[in-house]
Amino acid sequence: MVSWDSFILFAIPSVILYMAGAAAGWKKSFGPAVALSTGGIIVLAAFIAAFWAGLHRPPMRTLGETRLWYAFFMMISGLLVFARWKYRWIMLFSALPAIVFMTMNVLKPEIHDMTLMPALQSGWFVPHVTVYMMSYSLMGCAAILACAGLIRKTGEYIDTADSLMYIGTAFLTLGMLSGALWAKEAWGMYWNWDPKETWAAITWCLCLLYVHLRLYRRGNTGTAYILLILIFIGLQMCWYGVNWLPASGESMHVY
Amino acid sequence: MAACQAIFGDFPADFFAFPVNLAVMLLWMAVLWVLFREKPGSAAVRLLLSAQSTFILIAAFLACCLIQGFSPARLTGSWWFVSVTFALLTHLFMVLLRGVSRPRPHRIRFLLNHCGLFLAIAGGFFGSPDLRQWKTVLSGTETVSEAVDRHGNVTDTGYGMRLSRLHVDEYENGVPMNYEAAISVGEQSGIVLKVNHPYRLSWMDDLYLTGITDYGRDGAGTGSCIVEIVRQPWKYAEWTGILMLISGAVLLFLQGPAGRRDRRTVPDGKKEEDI
Repeated sequence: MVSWDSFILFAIPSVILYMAGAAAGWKKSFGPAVALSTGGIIVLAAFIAAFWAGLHRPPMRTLGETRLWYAFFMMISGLLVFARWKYRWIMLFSALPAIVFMTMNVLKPEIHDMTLMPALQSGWFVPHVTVYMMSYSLMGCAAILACAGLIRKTGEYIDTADSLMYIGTAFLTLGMLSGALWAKEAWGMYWNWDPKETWAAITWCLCLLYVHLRLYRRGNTGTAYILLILIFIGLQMCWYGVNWLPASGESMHVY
Repeated sequence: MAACQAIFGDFPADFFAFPVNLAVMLLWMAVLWVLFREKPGSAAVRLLLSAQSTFILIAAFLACCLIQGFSPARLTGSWWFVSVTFALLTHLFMVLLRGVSRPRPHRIRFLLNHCGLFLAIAGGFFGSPDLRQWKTVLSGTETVSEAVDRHGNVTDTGYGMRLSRLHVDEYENGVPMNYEAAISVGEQSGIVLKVNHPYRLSWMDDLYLTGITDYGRDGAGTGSCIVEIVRQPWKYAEWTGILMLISGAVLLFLQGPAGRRDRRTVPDGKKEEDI
């Protein structure tokens, strides 16, 4: 049975394969880049599937488990952006947060027991978390593009960032609303202004601001890039930063 | 706003309980509709439909959320929060009227997203004075007909509730895996409550199992459970809005960014507000 102790056995080959793919992408070898990085993603997916089976519950409860999903989706998003828009550096940069989070999971393992509180035993659990993590990773890629655009002082990434933000906002909306429907079933209210929900609203409003800013062509690309970075910071606050706020003790999102 | 907040405290939501909230909402929508139809070139309509209003109101709502995000106190009942939400709803409704009356790119996506957001927020906003939540503890075989709201006020539910059976499954470490309570409400018996599975008592009342206390180590028999009664007559507006928003998000994913020709560019000789 695959347990958390086996993670490093999967993480190392996964990272090696993905980085080899990223290196091939840097050298503009499209086929090997896609093949190698897909291999890295499959290895990580194999661990997640086996770990899931071993735990008898979805591995999405703890912060460490969501970090695992973020790393997984960050690798997928990096590969998709590379395959679609051919930015040769994108996989290297998208691998960075994935590697950081996987390293954190190796160095600071959490207790990954089988317990799952009754409120989390819902059909909404898996779609809510995975859709959110997918949107976080897409917006992570958009933030990488924004940083690149600001450093290189170029507007050439903005159309790609628009595409990522539209897809990311769609996923974020689905994540937020699946959470609202779930909250109604579990707690009786669609929206409680719980700290996590409040930060989800903040991030969503930032996304709406970006979409409308770009739709109306207001502000320059620099403003749009900065907004993308703010959205990424908002997502981090919503994901784990909220735990350090004074109101976090009253949050219902504590597992 | 600051003066209102200082003098009156939070917004007096209870004053707008049904039917006042419904009347105010219908009157407000009618006024906006007449304004849109009869005075389309007026400064008020142009302002309400301008892109600047979109940015300012999203930013203002964002600012309210940010203050709430950093504050341990509940600020959503403040005059500031209520005013900004009302202004945002006003802008959304006007934009919807314009979107319905004129052809535009990605029309269905636009309508689903904006109408969905309007219904979701309006359902919560106008419905909040009618929202009621009561909790009661059922234990043993005692029949309970009183429940307590968030402010500690005791209310007679009008029916008796009794716990018939409490069943708890535990993990090996003693943590509850799942639990269910069989209760009777008035003449209805055999109602099974579980977490994530509320019981629909009427079109506006639902019963929730929110906790257990004091259950026996064998996982059965004696114990107490906490039942919450939620009265939310406006939930259907919120639910419809959420479903529309979900459909709009799917279209956002499928259709992607607006093409260059779709963007709100300013044609020669026209101000943006005219578009």
